[in-house]
Amino acid sequence: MQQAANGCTQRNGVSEDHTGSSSEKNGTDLLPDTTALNGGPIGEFSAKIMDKTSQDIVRLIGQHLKTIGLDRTADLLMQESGCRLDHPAAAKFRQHVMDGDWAKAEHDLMELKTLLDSSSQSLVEMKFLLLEQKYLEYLEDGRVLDALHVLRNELTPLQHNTNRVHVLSSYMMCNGREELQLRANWDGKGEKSRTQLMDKLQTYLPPTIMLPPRRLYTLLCQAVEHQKHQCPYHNTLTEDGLSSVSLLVDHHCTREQFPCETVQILNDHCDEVWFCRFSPDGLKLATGSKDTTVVIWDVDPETLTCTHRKTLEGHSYGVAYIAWSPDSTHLIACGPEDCPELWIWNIEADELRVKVSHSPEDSLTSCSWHRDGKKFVTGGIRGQFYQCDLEGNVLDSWEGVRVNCLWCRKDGRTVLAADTHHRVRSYNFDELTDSNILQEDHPVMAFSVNSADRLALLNVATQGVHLWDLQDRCLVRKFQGVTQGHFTIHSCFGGVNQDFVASGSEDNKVYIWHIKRELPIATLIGHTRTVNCVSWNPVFHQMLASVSDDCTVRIWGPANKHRNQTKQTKISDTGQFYLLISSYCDNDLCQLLTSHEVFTSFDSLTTNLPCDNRSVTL
Amino acid sequence: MGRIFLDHIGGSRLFSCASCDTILTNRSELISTRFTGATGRAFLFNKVVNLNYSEVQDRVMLTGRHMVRDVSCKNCDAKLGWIYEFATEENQRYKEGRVILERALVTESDGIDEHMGDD
Repeated sequence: MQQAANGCTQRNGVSEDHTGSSSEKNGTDLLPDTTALNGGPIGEFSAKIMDKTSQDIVRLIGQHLKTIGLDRTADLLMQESGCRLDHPAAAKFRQHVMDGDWAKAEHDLMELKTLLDSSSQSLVEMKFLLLEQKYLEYLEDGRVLDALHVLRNELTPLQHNTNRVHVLSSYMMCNGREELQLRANWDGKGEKSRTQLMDKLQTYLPPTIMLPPRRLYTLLCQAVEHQKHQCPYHNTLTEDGLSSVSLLVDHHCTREQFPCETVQILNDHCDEVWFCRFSPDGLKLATGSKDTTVVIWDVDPETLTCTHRKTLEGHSYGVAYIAWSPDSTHLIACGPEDCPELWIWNIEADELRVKVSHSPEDSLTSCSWHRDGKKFVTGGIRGQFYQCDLEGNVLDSWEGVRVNCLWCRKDGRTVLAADTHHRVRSYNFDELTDSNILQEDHPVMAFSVNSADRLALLNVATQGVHLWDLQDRCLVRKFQGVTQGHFTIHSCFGGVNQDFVASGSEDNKVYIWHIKRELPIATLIGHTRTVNCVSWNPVFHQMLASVSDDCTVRIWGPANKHRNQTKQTKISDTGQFYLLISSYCDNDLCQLLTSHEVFTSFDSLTTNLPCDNRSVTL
Repeated sequence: MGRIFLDHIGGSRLFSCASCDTILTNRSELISTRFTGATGRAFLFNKVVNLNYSEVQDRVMLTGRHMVRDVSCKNCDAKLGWIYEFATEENQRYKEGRVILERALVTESDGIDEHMGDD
């Protein structure tokens, strides 16, 4: 990774600060100390005339070529273009640093001083960095006296960053190289630490002198990030860096990779379904209905479908709100107005833990778990606002608040409550303090908070879905499209990074928005009556559930061909026939395909099929 | 200190702070005149502007236990009355969110007969 500092640079009257200056005739204008490549005739390549942008691009390409080891091409490129990667003094400097030739490096610094346009302070800092590396390397080599000399006679006189000097002097007490490396957080003498040093030093040099390291790669990463941000349906976890994307085509997720089709229709409820929520681990779904039951569904992570696990009965008023404990083992079911009871279920053991019933005049319509999973808050429109433990004992009570909806914040102390005065306020049960967070002009029916604990999504009566910033206490966005005037509708955050927002609506549709845009990016049609609630799976981001007054629960997922359908394959002995068993919408389809058919359908499959070479009995 | 923003609620008969004449509310927001405050007669209004609110206090009144906040003039800080935040009795709930202004602490005057567009 050494820069060419050994005579391959040509001083040819072109400096990168001149735009469009002529760079031809370098054959005649050479300065005496340049030598041509391979000793060939000077001036064999006449440089092209290029504007500044092209010169910069050529330099970046040259740098990249050097990085991957194509030195000859890089040199040729520099010759033909008449550009240079680094100023020769800088190239020399880099070479000396990488070689560990500190004396020469310092000398180079003096030469570079004239090229540095900033103050002498940066020169001192660069010197400091060099001496620091020199000192650490001496220490690692066991040359204690030399190290001491550096510390005393070279570092200290600089009178710069004396705190650091003191820390450095303490490293003399280290016993051996491992301890030194550990304490100094240093990689040890060698190319790696010297490259890091070079990267630090480079920041002081203007780009005309020395290019920022890996600049082309950095620029391309930025471009890919930009594409991802622009992508409206982007719902997949991709790593940073370029290895997972193609540079040849703009990144663009299509709508079909996004939950947009009904994958399942679940009919287990026999009356209006009012609420649904996935568990925090993404493996279970709970739906609550007017038919007095809560149904627990298991999520299959491969097919992203639900199967009935258990029906929890006995909620005589119906189930209007459900909250999962943070560890997904318990859930609380609340009823609608007038319901004074709360049911706490242990889902792991599939049994009722306790039915909380404090007083028959209570109305407990909302609840939220504390982050430790050992307490929760509940409240309702009659003015009850309690903090309870897992047995249902009331630990604390806040008087005088008519609660529409509750949420416990991540700090483990404050609780947000939407009240009948169109406000959301924050309450601290430990210190008994409260404060205003936001004020709407219309009633706040329900709200949720994103996992970063920064944004709140409100369903406001007759107004739709509003996004508020809890820290700055201001309205960020109003999402358009939802019809609501009559019923209690719930919305949710969802997707990777919670980039999306979804809500039910009284026009029987599910609306999905990208969090940055007011207009919906998808409207899911299928329900035949008001959609009361939606829940986006927090772990399996391709899965969305919605519930409706039409008594059904719908699971939504990506379009058919993007779904992970197949479960098993068996290949016959002769390799001629393949048996694909795919599970799709509760039906198991077995397809016997010839090898030809399999290969043509392979491109629509998105994952590798686990094949086991057992023979098929046909 | 800055310039205090004062809203103007409009209307043809205005009620304003007795100390500094800041407009607070108007006749159309009046709900009931049959209340009693510390200084005597008091009125219940639906919407009142230019107020500062105190912390919530628990108060037992003739009509029962209530949670109220005292209100004062935003401009001159004169006491004006209180706002009901919560009523423990069901039949007192109509007061919640509404403001009591004591008759002696406000003055009534004529406003402009503005025609407000239909909402």
